[in-house]
Amino acid sequence: MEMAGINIFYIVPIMVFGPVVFFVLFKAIGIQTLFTLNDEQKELQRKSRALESALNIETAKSARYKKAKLTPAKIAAQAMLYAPFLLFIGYFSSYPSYQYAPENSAQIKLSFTLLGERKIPCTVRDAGEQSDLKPNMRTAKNCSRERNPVRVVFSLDGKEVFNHSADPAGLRDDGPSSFYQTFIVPAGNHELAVSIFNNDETIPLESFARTITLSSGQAIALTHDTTEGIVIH
Amino acid sequence: MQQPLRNFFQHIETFFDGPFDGALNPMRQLGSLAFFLYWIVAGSGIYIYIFFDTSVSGAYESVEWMTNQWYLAGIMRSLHRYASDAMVVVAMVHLLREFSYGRYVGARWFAWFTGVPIIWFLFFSGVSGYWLVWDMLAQYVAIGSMEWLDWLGIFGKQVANNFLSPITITDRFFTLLVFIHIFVPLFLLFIMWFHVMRLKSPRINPPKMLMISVSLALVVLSLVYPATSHDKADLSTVAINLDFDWFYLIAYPLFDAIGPGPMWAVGIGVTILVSLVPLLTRTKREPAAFVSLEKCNGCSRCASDCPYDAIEMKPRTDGLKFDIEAVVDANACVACGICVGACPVSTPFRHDEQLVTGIDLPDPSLKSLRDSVVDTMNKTRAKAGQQNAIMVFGCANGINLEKLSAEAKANNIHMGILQVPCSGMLPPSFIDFAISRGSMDGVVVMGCSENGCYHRFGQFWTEDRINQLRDPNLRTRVPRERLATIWADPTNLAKALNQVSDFNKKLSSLPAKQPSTTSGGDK
Repeated sequence: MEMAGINIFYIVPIMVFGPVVFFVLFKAIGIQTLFTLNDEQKELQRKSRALESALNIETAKSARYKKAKLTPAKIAAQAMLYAPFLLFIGYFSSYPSYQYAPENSAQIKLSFTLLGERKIPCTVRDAGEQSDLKPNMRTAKNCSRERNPVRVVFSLDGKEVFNHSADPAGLRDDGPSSFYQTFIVPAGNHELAVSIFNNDETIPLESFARTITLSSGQAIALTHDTTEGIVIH
Repeated sequence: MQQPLRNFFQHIETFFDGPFDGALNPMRQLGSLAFFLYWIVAGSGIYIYIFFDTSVSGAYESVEWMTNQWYLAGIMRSLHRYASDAMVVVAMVHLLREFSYGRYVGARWFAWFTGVPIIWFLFFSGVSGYWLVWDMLAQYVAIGSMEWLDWLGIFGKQVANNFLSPITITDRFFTLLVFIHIFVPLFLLFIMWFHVMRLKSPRINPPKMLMISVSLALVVLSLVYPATSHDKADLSTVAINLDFDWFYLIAYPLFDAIGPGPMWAVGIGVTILVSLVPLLTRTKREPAAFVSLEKCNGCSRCASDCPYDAIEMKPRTDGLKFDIEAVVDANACVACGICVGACPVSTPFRHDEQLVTGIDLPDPSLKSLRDSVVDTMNKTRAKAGQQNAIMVFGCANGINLEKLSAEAKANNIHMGILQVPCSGMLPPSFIDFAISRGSMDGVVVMGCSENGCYHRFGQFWTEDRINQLRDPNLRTRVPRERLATIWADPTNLAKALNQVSDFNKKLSSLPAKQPSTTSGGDK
């Protein structure tokens, strides 16, 4: 059921839990004390106000609220002082220009999120082993959660420019290994080669080589897809 | 480093005092100006948000539409940018000024410490705003920011992956960026509130005329030099040249040069260093004020005048007939002595040997103050002979009284000097005492430059007490022509000397002072 394009069921938890959270914050944690006074504080406040009013405090005339005596000359002088300030703000809000990369260059980004191989290879459970498990846990394979680090080597025009090993993410080392690096290169033809290794093995799991032509200002990204392998965007 | 910086600020402030007439001097309103600029940014931001398209495809076009409507939405966009930039400038100058004046010592550490995250949130607010324009600068800033965050490794997947190519950035992610730009400034406001919460009556609004002139100036800038965008973001290209907002993006070139890890080290290192300034430059903390209950009738004047909210009125604990008593929070007290000046019992006319007052400082105590005044007056009178003898009460943060006295002596002006932590510590009865009892021809009360009181309100309360606007009043019998107030910072020695000289001439032109009519003290 939608109302103004919003599924109203999404609002239900807020309506139910919102007041509860508010109540907890207000009462249990004590935020109310920021907004409300107890009887003792109210009485003190009343007495304090009565005393203050008896203290002959004329705030409007106080030196604290003294008004400036401005003359046309002073206003003109103020304008003269505002001018350099505005010039300063206006200029440095856009200038001087910043050159991020040399003229006639392009950018190559490597971005890989790769699952390493399992530290202990999966074993097949026989029927007896499966029957020892609870029904919902009866899977055919017994696999460890931990995964190996992954190493990525990137060569540009035959020269190795990136060689990095990344540990798997997660407290149990069961997540993917992530790689991210950018390279500024001159525009023109470039030979790209990427190799992905399991842990410190020497034979790559995957390899990729391509010659590309980059125009000035062009940005490409090399990513990994489980079905297509390494792809260029 | 601190003293030259302080001298620099004092010269600038003195220069600004002319056209801005003291009360409007923006250099003494930096904190409140930052608040005001925040409201301009918030107001203009709400307006442009109405027309802002929060989708990737529509964001840039909506900003362009606003820019082209130069007479309204365009002004609002420019105001949004320039007020944000001005806020950075004002906040940084405010930080430097407070540092130069040492306004982080003692109980003031809290305002200093809470000011540090304000800088982070201010920059984060501005940077997140640049993302939303979704032009080439936004693309550069967004990618750089995400690469910086990704270095922490706290996100399962690289956040920068959202900006790999035109197909990887989604409307949903873009909406998240919009959310960030709304909630970070709200947090900023929350911390700004935290920043001033320990101050009594914090000045969060500059004077009206200053608000008007600043707003007008920013509108003029918006009209003359409207904010514009770069080309629309295109993730299949890389920005080579960028027109940079150096106020917010100054860290990005450094980030490009040294990489994310060292950049975090620089950011965290500077943050820790700035946060620890109160510890690194530790100065002796003066002992806090204390209350003598037998002399306190719970009148609340001290609590009302304390600029640091260090005095609370609580129910009586000693069984006397009064309802309440003053209680000093020693952690919040900076020993400025303004409470001593506010206490009606703080009068030198009393005969008590110990001269106990309702609230006092351990050093200088009211008794030591009276003893010093009597001693100084006697010496000055003796030296002056038939010439004018002037008693000068000066604050610890204003003109160097020793130098002033030496200069005055060279000009044949006889001055007795007495320094108090703040001019507000001086009970008005001491002025009366110096003139009527001490045979001084005149009294000068000196303090920090106008509106620049180191202890916030000392100068105001002193003037109000003299002008009988605030209790305890300076009694009517005190001839006002024999009293002068001089508000000047230490760089204005010559100006102060001129004023003292003029006052001395004025005293000479007055008829001879009548002998004191008070034969006894106020019991």
